[in-house]
Amino acid sequence: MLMLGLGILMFIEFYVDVPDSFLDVTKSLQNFVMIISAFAMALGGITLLGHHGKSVMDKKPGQWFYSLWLLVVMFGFILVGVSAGTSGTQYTWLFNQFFRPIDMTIYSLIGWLVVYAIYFTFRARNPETTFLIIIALFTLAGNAPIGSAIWPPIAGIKSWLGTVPNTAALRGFTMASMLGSIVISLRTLAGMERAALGG
Amino acid sequence: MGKMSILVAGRTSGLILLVVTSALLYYFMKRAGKGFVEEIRKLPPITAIDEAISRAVEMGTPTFMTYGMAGGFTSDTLVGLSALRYLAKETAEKGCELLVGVGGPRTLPVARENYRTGCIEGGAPELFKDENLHFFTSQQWAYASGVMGLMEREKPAACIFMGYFLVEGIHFGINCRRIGTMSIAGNPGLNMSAFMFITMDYVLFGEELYAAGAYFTGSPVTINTLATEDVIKWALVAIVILGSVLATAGNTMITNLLGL
Repeated sequence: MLMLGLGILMFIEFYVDVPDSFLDVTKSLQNFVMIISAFAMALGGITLLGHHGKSVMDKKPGQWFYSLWLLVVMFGFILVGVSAGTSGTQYTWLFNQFFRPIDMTIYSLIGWLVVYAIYFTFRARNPETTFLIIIALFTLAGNAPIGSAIWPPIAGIKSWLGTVPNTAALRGFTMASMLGSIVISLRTLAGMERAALGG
Repeated sequence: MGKMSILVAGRTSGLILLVVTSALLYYFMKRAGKGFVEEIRKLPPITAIDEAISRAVEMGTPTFMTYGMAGGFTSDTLVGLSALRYLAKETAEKGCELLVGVGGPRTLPVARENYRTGCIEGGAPELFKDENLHFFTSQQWAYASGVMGLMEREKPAACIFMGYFLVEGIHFGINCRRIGTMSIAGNPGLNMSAFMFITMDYVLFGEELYAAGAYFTGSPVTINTLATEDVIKWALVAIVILGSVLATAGNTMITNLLGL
């Protein structure tokens, strides 16, 4: 009932031209969500501490060193962030020198992984995959400048493929997906979604 | 004009859709209460889940499941949590261990409860182990690295990804192929589904994930709510066709109505 009531409040705020006093109430509710999220983040941190602390204490073979490193980095960031602020030069330096290179390294794997995935996926096994390969070739050739240099109409074909059939399919897909999302959200508000309640 | 100022401009059609959807939802839920349960076509990825868990039991390795890194309770995360409970029940019934990867900290306690409840429902509460629940944070690449690392160390026979995934889906798919595990995925996002489609063995697209979510709950009332989506979809198709024909003929009545 609480979920339903709060949901209806938010619906009213979105669809109805409400006075400012009503907006203050909904804004407070949104602030409550942020505060509760902060507690959840702390819970996540405590879980990490418990799990990896136990791994270090038990000297779990092959794992304890990585757990120790995780805890060192975690507390290092916390100490620097709390003492010097998260927008300070020290924290920014730590973030840019430690976190960002690792982040970008994993992200950059995508380039290789996509090529690898295309290599073993694009096989003309049946009419559908053959059609997919032809469309992919048109799109690749249309995007590369050399495609237009070899055969000028290819850019127009690629553009038509992207704006007409692709957009139509995308919109249909998105509409269906959003409807599913709406129904699940309404079910959650009505208290029928047990997953959200954990049992 | 004076009456319409109660509602925010440009949102009336959305409100009408919401009210109609709610009414239909209520109608189909009532029908379920009277015993009229709609039939769901069992999708191949859902059938494959049984096969995947059986494979894990035969190989003596765990099953791995993760529902994405969303920080909050989005609709796809809710489906993922339903899938977690269903998988916990199925793996407990077959005596297989389930490893769970968690992204969002807010969902961690709920995931724990769903996992525990699923094991109890499966008749093997002893299979619930807190250390099988791995929290990786909702930071994208930390989460992706954590999941891939866990897959490398534990070598699960079956990996199931149901929920909110972005481009890290391709990392998971390639890793699954590399370690020779059976992979089943469900992702409602169109752009990112493509990565999973080309690398995973079975994939649920878009609304199929939400249908699977209803199937996982096993509740007739929840299953019946899928009929709401179908009715609204057909209505929207009719409106789009009618609107296109009228707009081509120079009549923008439908376009104007939808813009209210």
